[in-house]
Amino acid sequence: MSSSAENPTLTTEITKPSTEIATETAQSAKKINLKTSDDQIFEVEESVAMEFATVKSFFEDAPSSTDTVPLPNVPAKPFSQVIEFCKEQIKFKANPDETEKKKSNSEFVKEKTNEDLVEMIPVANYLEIKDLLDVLNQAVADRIQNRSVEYVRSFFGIDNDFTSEEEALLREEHAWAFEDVDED
Amino acid sequence: MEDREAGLQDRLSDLPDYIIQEILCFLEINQAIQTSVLSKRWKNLWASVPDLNFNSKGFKEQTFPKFLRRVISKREDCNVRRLDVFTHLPIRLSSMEGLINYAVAHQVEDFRFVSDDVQPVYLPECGSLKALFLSRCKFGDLRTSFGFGFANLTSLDLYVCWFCYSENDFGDPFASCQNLRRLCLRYCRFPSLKRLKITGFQLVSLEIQGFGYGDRGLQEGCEVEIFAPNLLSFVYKFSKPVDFCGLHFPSLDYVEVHVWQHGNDEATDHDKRRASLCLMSMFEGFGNAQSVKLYCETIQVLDLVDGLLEQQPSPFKRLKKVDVHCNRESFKVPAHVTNYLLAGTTGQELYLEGLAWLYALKCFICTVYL
Repeated sequence: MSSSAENPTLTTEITKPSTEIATETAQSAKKINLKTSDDQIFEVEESVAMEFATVKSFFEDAPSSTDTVPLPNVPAKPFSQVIEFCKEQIKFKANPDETEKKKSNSEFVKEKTNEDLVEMIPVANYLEIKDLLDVLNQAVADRIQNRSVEYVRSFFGIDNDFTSEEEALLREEHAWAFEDVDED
Repeated sequence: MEDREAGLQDRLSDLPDYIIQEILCFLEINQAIQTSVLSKRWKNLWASVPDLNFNSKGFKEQTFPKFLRRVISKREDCNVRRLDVFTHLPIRLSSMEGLINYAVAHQVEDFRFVSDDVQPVYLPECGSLKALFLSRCKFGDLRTSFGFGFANLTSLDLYVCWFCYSENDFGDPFASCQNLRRLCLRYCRFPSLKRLKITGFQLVSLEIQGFGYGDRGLQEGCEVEIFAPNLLSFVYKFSKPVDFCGLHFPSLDYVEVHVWQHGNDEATDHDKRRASLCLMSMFEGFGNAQSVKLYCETIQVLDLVDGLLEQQPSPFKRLKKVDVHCNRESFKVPAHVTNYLLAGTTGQELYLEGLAWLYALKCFICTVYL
């Protein structure tokens, strides 16, 4: 498939675009043990654990540590979902593809319950996973969009600590923000 | 709280306010205001959200500006990170001024303004602004020295924006944005200029779409000069060839050109000749490009006039890759066009990667590696 430079011509051949994805480097993956607030131990690949800024800085402070890293603010249930997200994310580090990444992120949040999403937010915040936090905040905002006050309260599990008089007054005070909004 | 019902635990109670505000940032401002009645903790959270999203949906022409003013007046004195305004209504310039001045005074970094109809927009100097997106705006009565006064702007997107110069027929609107790294101009109009200059010392990526003479935004005969010593990527799409009187791209790496000449049958020989020559002189500015993406329409414009291309030396000196995209199966790049594109790289082995079918786009691509 080459011709000399003195006589450049374009010849044609039908080929299929390569769909091959660079396979992960076959290094023996180091595992790191992480202990959640409810005393469950997760054995996580190092590459995934390093997505958690909090864990990463733990190892930067004590590079040779083989101890189990305690995560006192992280319960097991949301943590397992956070790991699921990070495993997906690191695939895009090797092959950046914004469209596929967005698709994968929206798939991830789509199958989560409201409770799942809300429970993951403190975990993502504690572990300092900026990408996940953005994805969660957007997903939560999408789900409370155009919803009633009562719906949003139960969505987040918020205790209404206003008296009914206080709440009525506040609604009146803020009526200006909605007075010209059409009902639809 | 002891009286909290089982299972109804406030899952966000331990989170700092700024995390909750990040959620509010994704809501339109009137919805964010609505959260103030959720509980005492939420009462004032909206008043210091860093991002403000205004949407005129549901408002009338008179009430939307009033709403903007009230939001500003009720906010706490804190910085605005992002201001996003979407309007289907004509907003009076004075109401926009109030909002924009507020944002500028509060260190806005990112401003997006999207309007359904072209309307005049007032933009003061702003040192904090980093990203700006404007859709359907008109900058009227521009003086000689007009330029956006955003010294720290790094990204600028303009869609259907009108630059109406009143006193001069020369414009260099981006020169004062000394830190601009990304510029995207889509369907922008410069109707009164005889010469347009785009100066971007730090510009890395430049994309121009919907450019051309007549109904495409430039006065017939207007010359365009671009000075971008650090530019790596130049994309010129959905456009017609215009007279680029000077392209200064010493660092260029990637270039993409999709131009065409409509109504080839009716076009006079003079028109065809001019289109071809404009395109060739544009290509002369791409001498340093290593990767070039062209479309079959671009190839046709290069080859509109018999014998013209053969007289031209190849513009490329460092070429490594040429992609030709085509939506027709039977298109062949003529030998003299291939020669024009590749001749400057003699002495190197020429590899042809062949043609690939893009299943989704049904597009034809041929790639040449050098």
